[in-house]
Amino acid sequence: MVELTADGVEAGYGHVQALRGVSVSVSTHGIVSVLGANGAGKTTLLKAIAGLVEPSSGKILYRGIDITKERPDRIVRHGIALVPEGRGILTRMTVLDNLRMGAYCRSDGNINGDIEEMFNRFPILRERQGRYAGTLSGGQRQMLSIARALMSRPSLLLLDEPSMGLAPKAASAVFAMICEIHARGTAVLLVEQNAVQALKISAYAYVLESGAGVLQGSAEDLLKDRAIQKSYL
Amino acid sequence: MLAQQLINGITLGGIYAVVALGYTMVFGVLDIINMAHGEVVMFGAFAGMLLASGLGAPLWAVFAGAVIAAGALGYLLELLSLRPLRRRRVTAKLAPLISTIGVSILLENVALKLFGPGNHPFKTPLSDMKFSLAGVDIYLVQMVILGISLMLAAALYLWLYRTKEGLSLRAVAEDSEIASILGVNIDRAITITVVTASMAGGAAGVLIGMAYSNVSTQMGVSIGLKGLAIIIFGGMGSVGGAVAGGLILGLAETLIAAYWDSGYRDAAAFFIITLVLLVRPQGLFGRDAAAMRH
Repeated sequence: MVELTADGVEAGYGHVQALRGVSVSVSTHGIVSVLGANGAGKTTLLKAIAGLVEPSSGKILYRGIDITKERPDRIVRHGIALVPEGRGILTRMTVLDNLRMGAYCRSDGNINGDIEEMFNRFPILRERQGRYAGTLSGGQRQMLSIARALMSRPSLLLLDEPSMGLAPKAASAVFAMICEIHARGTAVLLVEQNAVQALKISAYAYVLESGAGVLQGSAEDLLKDRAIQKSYL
Repeated sequence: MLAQQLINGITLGGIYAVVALGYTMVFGVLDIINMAHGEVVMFGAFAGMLLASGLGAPLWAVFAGAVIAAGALGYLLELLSLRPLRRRRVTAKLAPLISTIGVSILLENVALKLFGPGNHPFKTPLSDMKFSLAGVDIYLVQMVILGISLMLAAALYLWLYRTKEGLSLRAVAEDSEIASILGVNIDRAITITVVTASMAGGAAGVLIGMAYSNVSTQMGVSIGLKGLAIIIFGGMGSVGGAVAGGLILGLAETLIAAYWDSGYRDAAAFFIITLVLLVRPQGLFGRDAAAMRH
């Protein structure tokens, strides 16, 4: 089932046009990746979907609902959670408070149960629950950031460069975690510079260059593609 | 003599603490110093004065009236002088600061026009009630001031650190963009912060009126400077720092006036600040300087 479609999205900061008509589609069948060099517009695309950047034109539909001009706090309530670039954890709050903030948009009674589940999936977070999140290592911060996003019980998870700055072992753990999240039924849109690892776990991928889509196809095809291998792999 | 001065000092410190809490909350969430806070305190004091001296209202009604008036003023301050700047995506921190300076000048002059110059007596039923305890005179007003200050500080602390609302405000204080993707309506959070800080300011205005038995339209300036001094001293954005800083300044001023020279009273605040900034620039309870934002 198609979860999200972005159609001809243009967006920018002031006079800088970061996206020049980008279209992507994300379904529950398989992880979708967006690849590209620094400054290609990958982060802006995720910010536009999450509501942090307002597109100047184009349309973003989530399960048929137009969310193009929605505020970020409303979009997360539709079921879209963003794991931002650089993790975006709240360093002056405890690990536990970060997880509680992840459930801020919920009002059901299962929040403590979900925190317990996150502690089971990420045992290091249980151990560090009372510590300030700023004391965590890079890999632990990424785990916390993902766990916090899951606390909103999203049906679509947006991940912005989750492997950035991580040692290979920690990066592999993060990719394995993303696969597991997807296997449990959450649609995933993954932005990565680490193209090989991203394509290995994805079903479909888009390649952005200077704010525009230049290539798209199944991850399998892209992995074999000569041009891709030359520029990104 | 010393016991008497300590009680006077703690009472004054309690008032300072409540004033500083208003500054520290707004600074914590918005990263700006609300230069109009002293005038919001002043308006709260005048609302209380009108109810107490004019209508002879009971103490609870005096507080309620002052808190409501100051809260409404805080709402207008956010709606008319802060929000429009955010809408236009003005990123310079100087813009909202200057905007609040403008509001403070406006409020002081409106008050002058409305209430007239000079001191206005602030009479409460408690004004002259006192009792003696081991040779120390304690005014009932002092007990009320101290009790209400501590209650307000404790309530604010519990609200910020034990409730979901407080959790979200602390998240906005650290990173409003991250807070927004987690579901926090930023405009609402800022409005709640400014209104709550202003309501505390209204209560502080009544406490000042009770302590000095009169109010004036210029009181906002001096009380504002003291409040600023305290949050620099205690650590910008820190609740504990505001309370400790307020108490220390209140005690220092009272003791200096009693044992040295009352002319140096107002110098105490700025002497302490200079000392603190030299030894511990982030303030007593502040985050380390490297982590402090600008």
